[in-house]
Amino acid sequence: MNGTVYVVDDDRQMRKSFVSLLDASGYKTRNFASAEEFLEETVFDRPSCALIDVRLEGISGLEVPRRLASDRPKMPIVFISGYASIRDVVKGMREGAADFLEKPCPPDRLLECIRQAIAKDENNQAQQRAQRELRDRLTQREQQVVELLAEGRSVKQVAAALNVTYQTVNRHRAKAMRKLGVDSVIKFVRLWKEFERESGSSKS
Amino acid sequence: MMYRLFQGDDKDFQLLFAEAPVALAISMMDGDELLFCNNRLGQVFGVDPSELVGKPATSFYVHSKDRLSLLREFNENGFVERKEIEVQAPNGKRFWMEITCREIQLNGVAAIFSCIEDVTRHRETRKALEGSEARFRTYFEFNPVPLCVWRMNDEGDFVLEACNPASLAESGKRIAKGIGTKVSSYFEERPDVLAFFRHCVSEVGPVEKEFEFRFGGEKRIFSCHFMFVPPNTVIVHAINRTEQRRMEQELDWKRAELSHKNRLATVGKMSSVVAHEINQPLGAIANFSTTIGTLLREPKIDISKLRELFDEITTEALRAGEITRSMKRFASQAVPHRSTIDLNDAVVEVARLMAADARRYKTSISLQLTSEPLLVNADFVQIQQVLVNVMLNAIESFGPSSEKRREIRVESKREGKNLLVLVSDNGCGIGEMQAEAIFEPYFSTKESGVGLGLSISRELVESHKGRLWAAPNQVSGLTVHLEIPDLGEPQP
Repeated sequence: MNGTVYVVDDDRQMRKSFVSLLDASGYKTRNFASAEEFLEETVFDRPSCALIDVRLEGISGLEVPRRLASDRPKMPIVFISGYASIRDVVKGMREGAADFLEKPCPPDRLLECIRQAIAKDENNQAQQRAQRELRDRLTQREQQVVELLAEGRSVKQVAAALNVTYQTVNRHRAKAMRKLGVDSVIKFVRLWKEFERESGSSKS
Repeated sequence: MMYRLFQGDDKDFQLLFAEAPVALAISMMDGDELLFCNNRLGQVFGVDPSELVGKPATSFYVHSKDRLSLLREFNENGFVERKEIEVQAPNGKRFWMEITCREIQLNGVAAIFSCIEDVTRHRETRKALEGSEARFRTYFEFNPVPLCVWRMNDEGDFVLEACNPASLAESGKRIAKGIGTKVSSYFEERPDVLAFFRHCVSEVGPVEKEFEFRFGGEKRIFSCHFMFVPPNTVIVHAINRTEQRRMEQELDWKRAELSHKNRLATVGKMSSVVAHEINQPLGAIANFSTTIGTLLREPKIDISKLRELFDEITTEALRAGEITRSMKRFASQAVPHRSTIDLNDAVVEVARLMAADARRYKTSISLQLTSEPLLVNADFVQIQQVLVNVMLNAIESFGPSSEKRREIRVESKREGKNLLVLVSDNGCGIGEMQAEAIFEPYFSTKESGVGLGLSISRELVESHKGRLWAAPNQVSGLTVHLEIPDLGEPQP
């Protein structure tokens, strides 16, 4: 078993204990005393997850997922907090927290959460790889068409934007749908949106 | 009877009479006419002696009845001894004379031989003395403050000479029996009393000390002023402070009770924060011990790594203990207890108690303390309570939406005879007027909280003879000053 856990906690001793526990359980660890420090990272190991204390001096732990999205989308985050309010939990979950633990947390429970988070990231990684492969099967023209359609434009508008005929657009769309293995336009757009989210800022 | 070494004639004796350094006069028994007088008498009357001779003695008396009573006494006893009478000279000068008369026979005629002295000044001095004596006596007798007069004897002990009615009333007449007794036996059980008597003799001006006595199981507290009056008298004022001290103590208890309630409320407010503060080390301990469990399952056991982890566990357990201990002391002490404490210690411990609360409000606390200890005679918990109230106020002074970095600075310093702790924040602050109002009971700008914290704090500080006040900062926020006098060495 391996993977990297990014530990963010402003209590030095607490941080140390997480590191020793995770270290003994075979994970690589990186630790940070604040969200700011953690957010300076630009290159991340895979698979990995973050264990973040909600109450931090400076930027709140709950802010991390949003700010991290551009550098490392979909990183599973396990929040841990001494006094989590319901609102915190809801916000954490909405921001895509993998889990929400209360301090003091039984170490077994913590390790289980970390294991799941790492597994999830591995899974994400595989999925992303597969999706990328699928996407790479499309020609450049097909990708252009699909992107514009996903933005909500009609076939006619796409045709005008690309300066091709209505039929050509339809043909590209049908081919792309076949390659991606979807049978309805809705499923098709949803899948494409997911691609875009996976690849983070690739489009925007 | 005559004692003489030389044989003088009449002339000699006339000279002796005339030049005698005392005023002498001879008057007729019948008719009271002044027969002879000497030069000295003329001086006393301020006239030439010739102006006096031949006049009736009565004419020199301001009140002629005085002469009559003198003659009556003379007739009865055959002499008059040192009688004071007011007289008037022919030139109008009035004065008091002291007259002593003897009967003599001059050529078979009975005559009065008198010696006269001007005692006007003596008399005035004596009257003045009598007046001051009378005033002192009146002051002594009617003074509502119990007064006793003690006189030092050869052994360096003091004997009770007099005590006024107030002291009799105060002691239930016990002290009356003490007149004539020595301090060493009257206060046999209390050698400190004699010691203080001796101490006051060496002092210029009054000295003061409070004594506690037991009279038949009843405790009495006297504030005593000792005044040494040279050469050997000590006047003692003893004011009964028993009732006053009892009331002060009652007030102390009331204050302690109120402050305890305030602390319990504070603890209630901080409990979730403190629970977190304890959970932190507990969580760390769980992590460390699980790590140990994991490491023990490995084929090769790294002993030094294990030792390190056990040390961490110890550190964390002590950290948790430290927090609960501070909290327990803070919450449970109901009885005030003064001792010599270091103000810096109180600040450090409070900063630890407040750390979690501060983090919750995203506030940083920085300390800037003197390197040498700031020792005061004070109640550790009450001082902590003041600091907690002040710091809670600072933490809560930041508006909920304030985006700026929140800081609380705690500084300790010595300023002359005073020790100071300054707590400043960079919060929204308040005006000069409100800076005083925050110490009023029930003043609060917060939704939660009754607004008693700072008013109780001020009372607590004042009971330590200190001051607690606030002043707006130049840029933003408020600085609360806690000032406690450096008591120096405790009183003997």
